[in-house]
Amino acid sequence: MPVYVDISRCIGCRSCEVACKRVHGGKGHVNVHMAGDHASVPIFCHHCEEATCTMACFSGALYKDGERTAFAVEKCTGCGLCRLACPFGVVWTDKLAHKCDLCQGRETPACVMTCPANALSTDFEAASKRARARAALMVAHGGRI
Amino acid sequence: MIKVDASKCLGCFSCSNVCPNQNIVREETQDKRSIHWKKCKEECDLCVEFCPGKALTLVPFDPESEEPTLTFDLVACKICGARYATEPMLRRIEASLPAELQKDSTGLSWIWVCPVCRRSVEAERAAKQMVLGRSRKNL
Repeated sequence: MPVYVDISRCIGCRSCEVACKRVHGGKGHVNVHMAGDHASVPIFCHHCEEATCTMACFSGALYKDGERTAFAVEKCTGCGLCRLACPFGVVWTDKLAHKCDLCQGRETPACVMTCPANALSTDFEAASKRARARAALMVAHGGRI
Repeated sequence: MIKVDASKCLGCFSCSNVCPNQNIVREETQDKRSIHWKKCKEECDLCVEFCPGKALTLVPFDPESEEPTLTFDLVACKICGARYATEPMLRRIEASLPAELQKDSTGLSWIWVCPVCRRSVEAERAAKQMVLGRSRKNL
């Protein structure tokens, strides 16, 4: 259950960044990037199925827990291998590693709760339905996709 | 006392992070990282246990021996040129990941790109798709 992002809805307000920092003691795991003036893209941990960070972690601190890529801070030695093993650059090492934990203990991640544009969700069905509907619309109108 | 096998050391900060007595001193400049192991008389072997490269061993205290220091040149990012990691660490990651995961969909060997640029690359790719989608919608 990662966080699904609908980029076309993102307004680049960085509320998700702030929410993430707020609940993680000042260390955020979301980065909103601006692509010129055209688009803003929040970059999140994908909770990859084949998570390269867990493959690089030698101490077992990073591991797959169902769909989630989880992190056991007590096992972390701060070596920094996971930071270098993430293809998306969303694992940080700051003495110890830190990454998105999907706000364990909360029903919904803080970023999803906060997003004023409804660009974030944890509902795969809803997110994929919207993406499919948009693709269908494009085919209907433009004929190209 | 700690003995270091220079050929196995990755130049990560694991040992200096876990040392309870600050006997392992690290220093990082813009393009170099060095690690200095002070002589210690402790019996603890946390650094040995938590070395990802298995480069450390505990040897009997010898007042004559020199304190080892290793210096690593940091590798420059292929995109922005910022120095971001030691080469042995990146080689280790190459060795621990299956080959098909080491290139992204555009063929970029992302391991040799710094984490900041990795985020930018991902953002640009996603934005391009979206902007393209928008322009199609306006047809």
